[in-house]
Amino acid sequence: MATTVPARRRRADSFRIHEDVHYMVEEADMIGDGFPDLEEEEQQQQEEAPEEVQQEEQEEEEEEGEPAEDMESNFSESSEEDVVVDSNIQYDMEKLGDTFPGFRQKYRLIKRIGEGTFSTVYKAEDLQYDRYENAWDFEKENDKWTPLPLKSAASSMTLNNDSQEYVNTQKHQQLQRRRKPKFVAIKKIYVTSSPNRILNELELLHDLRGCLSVCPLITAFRETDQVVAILPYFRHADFREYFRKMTVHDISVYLRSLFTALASVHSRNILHRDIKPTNFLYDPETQRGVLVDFGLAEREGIDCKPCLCHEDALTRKTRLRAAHAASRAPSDGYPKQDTRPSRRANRAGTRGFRAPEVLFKCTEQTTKLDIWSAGVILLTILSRRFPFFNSADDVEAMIEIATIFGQKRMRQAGQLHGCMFETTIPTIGTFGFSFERIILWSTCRVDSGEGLSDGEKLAVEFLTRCMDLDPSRRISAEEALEHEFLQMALQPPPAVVPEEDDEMDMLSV
Amino acid sequence: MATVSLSPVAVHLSAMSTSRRLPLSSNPNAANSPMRPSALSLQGSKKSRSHAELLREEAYGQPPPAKRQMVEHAIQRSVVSPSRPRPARTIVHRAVPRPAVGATAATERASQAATYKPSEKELENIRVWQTQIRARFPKMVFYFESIPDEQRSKLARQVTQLGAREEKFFSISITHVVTTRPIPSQKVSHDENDSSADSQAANSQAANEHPKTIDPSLLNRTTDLGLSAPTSVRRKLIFDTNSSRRIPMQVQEDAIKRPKTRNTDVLHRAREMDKKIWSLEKLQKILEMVLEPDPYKSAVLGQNHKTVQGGASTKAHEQSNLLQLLQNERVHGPSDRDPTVVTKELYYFKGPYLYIYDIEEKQKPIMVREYPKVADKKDGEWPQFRVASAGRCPFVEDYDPLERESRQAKTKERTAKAAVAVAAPSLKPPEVPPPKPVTGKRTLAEMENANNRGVASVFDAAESLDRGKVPPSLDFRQNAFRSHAKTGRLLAGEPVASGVQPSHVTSAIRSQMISSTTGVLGAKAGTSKEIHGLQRKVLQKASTPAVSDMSSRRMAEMSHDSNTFIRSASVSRATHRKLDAVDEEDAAQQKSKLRRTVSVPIPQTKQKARDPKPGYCENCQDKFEDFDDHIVSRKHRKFADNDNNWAQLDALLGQLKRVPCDNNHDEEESDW
Repeated sequence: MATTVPARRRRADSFRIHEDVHYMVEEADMIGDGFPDLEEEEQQQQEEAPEEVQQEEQEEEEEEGEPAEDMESNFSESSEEDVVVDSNIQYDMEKLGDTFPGFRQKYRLIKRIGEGTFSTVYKAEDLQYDRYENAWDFEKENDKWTPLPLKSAASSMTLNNDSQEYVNTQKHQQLQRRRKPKFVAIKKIYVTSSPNRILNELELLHDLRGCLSVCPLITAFRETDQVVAILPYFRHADFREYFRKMTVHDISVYLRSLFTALASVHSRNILHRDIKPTNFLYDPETQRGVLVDFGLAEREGIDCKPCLCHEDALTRKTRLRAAHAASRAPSDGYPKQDTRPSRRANRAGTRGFRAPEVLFKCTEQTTKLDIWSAGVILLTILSRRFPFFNSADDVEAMIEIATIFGQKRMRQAGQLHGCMFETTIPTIGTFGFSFERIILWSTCRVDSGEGLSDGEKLAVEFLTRCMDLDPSRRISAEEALEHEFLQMALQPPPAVVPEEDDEMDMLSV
Repeated sequence: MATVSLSPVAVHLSAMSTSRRLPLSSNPNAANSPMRPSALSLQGSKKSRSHAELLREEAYGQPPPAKRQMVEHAIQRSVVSPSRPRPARTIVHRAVPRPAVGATAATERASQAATYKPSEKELENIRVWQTQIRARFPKMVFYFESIPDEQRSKLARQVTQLGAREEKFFSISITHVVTTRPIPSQKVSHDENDSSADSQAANSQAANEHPKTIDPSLLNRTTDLGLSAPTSVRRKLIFDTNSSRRIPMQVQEDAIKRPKTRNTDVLHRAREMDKKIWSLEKLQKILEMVLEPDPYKSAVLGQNHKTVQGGASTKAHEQSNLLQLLQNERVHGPSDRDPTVVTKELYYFKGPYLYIYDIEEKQKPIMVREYPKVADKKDGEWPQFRVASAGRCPFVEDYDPLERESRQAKTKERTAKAAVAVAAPSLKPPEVPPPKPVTGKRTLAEMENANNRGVASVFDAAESLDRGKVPPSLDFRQNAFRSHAKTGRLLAGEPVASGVQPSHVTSAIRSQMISSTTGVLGAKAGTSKEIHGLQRKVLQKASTPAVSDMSSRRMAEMSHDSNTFIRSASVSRATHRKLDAVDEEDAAQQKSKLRRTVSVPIPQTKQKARDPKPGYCENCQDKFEDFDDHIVSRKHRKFADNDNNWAQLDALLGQLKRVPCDNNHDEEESDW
């Protein structure tokens, strides 16, 4: 009920745009004739396409980051007001401004800061900040959050926004303001995303409001098919810039922040599904981090079918034995023409961060899969290698995990989900390696005989709990916060910086 | 289809062909047995008979005792396992123990295993037994007899793993003979020796008649010399057995040839020499139990083992033959199939593989991938820990030109990655010198001039792409818009990652796909839409598995995907826009592409046309070749403008409005 009025108003506002649209539709008709050609072919792909799309969410950001142009999207904030170079980005920003009447009075787009499968994120200035309650801005009284050099607000004028233009220079604006600019992140969700997907993300974000370390939603609005979400802008550094320099205490602080977010999310039975450094914006200076991008998130238990891993050990064993005994399949070949249905499970996520149960296509996935991904982050930091896993697909991801854990444990992990794990790949040993060994090896300490520091040992112990192949034994976010390693974050950092880590750093850079 | 026919004739054939492998001693119907009626007595006089005749003879000249067996056989099977979806092979692999028991035992085992729970003591026994047997293995030398190559190599690997050794040729040094044939008893074998000595003349006659027969004297020599002519004959037989699985016709032929070895039977020789003779099943059982790290499982296996063995021992001689037949069928594949139907039920792994399937086997394999065999596991293309400098991914090898080159020379080409090499340089890790192809282990250039495998420069690759008659527009556009992160969103993902990795895409198909076309992209030209779609799928999959370098993998995916998109894009554009405009565009992109190939980074800012951004629209459930075109299409607008589609979302958005401050009364535009 309450929504009808604003909705109508919006429609009225958008009338002009509708005209535009009609014009464009006509033009599109001509082009559109080319489509039927494709349609048949696309039919075949339809069923897999959405699933595939999901997995790729925002991978470009971290993985395609090599070209200089994309570096920008990695949120490195050297200068706050970068000039937009790319004309295409410029064009997109112009278009976004046009899409919503009055948009330019409210937000001044600054630059593109990220791009994913379903959205592009821009940094923008919140021009009408003062008109609204800003519960989301917990930095309100605390100015260190946006340390602009020229922020001494001389003028005490009230905000005058009626004639502000998007093209205004920063200086001009500075004069009009009594406070430093407030920045927001504007997430432009592609119009090709289904309303349900958008609804899911926004709904979850809405449910998560007030959660610690979870990026809140300021507002969101729609104009025909274009939906935009306004989120606070968090200053943060590129993971690659700081992860090598982290001391054990730093790691603890970082992870405590991450696990605090996870605990909040998980306590509401929500799975984030895409935990990775790119989605945890962290500012090493303030030691604060927020979890972002709930585009792949889902509620636990939605769309689940029972999986063996939720049975108790005895039932599972019995059923495995029965199935195993009855099974007649050869173990050295597979059917060429297989008409059996494939196992379907949500595998959304980013490669390299997917939990084993996701790879085994467990049909009853839990919040623990986020813990695994967080573990991968920890492994990355401890081994000082990013990315640690580098798989082009799930099969390679599985091989990589198996290389670490070895056949025996992988087999048990597979059986949890009713899977047989077979491999003859010679580099997958029977017992795999311990994390300690892998970290020593990764940091080139194997030869020197140098061991792990006590702090690192604790971290490795914690890592082992996070990267437990068995999701039910894997530590929960709540438990993790009680773990000695994350408790370390609550202590003041050791007065003397552990030289060991610094040395390591020198070596590994 | 793989189902075993239950018609008497079919079973008849099966029984026949396998029973013909029985050594004389255990088979009263053997060719030179006195019990055998007339048909074969003619043999001596007929110097040259066609296989067809032989076949007929085999099929019709069936002696009564065998018939009895067959009937039993048929009954038993129809009761226990009326149909088998595919030939079950009972090879035991150490990764997953798979009991090799007769079909008769399978069901009883199922119930048994479900209820059987080993006690601690039994477990202890198992462990003791495991250690004992493990200790014994290093002294063992195996000779595998009448075992297909694939299986043999697998067994060999397993026994080697346990410290034992496989001897390729029958010699004095072996300790164990493993066979799929019935094992001659001690006593009978002596009888047999006598009788064979008696009928020496007949034997040599038979040998003359069929030149491929192994001459006993030759066999003797083999034992002495190790390597000699009969070796190849032996090999050949094994090979025949192998291929018979695929072409059942040969099973028959094989069955004909096989008995001819009987008089100089290795098994009998082995008996004479007091070698241990194990059935294949026995070895499999043992390996299975030894290699199973889970004592619980071993116990269950052992349990089954006991029952099977016990049952078998109490059965009549014919019945053990029957088991043998079943066992043989399991190993060699059913021999009673319609010989005109090419069998392709199973793809057998040849190289290292990862195979994950649901234990109940009601679903398609969850993951399956095979990698090419390599001599040195370091050359394997699967992810493995590599030598990587600090800070880099441990699964990606740092580029080492020399090493790579030598490897390139070694490896045979798979072309799926051809396009990879073309596009790769711009994605290379920074410290890598630009002109060297980091990426695919095989570039198209290498593939196309196999002799010319020095430094396959990027230019070579580009040129050879041209040679492959790839329409330039495809190839060049793809790169031009690759650098656009936005367009990459559907390209840069991981097409293979989803569960749709089709089990039927084998390396064989893959290579066929490739070799049957002029270039990677050629596959896409001039085919019907369905085929086109399928091929595209195949190529997508084919492109990924082997390259170890991450960027190249991604590029492979991207290029395949994008090629497709581009093709369709250019088609629609060509038909709906001015052709020359397209050409211009292509030319421009061609230039930029060429520059990119040399890895000179050029800013992409001033492009007169925006690159098409292909993708998938969830709302229209359509793939589109250009985002901007699609979102103004009628279909899409129809969806977008229908508020019903957005009702739920609007309801939520209503709750998400920004709340104005109290001191602010200007609410006119406060809805967002």
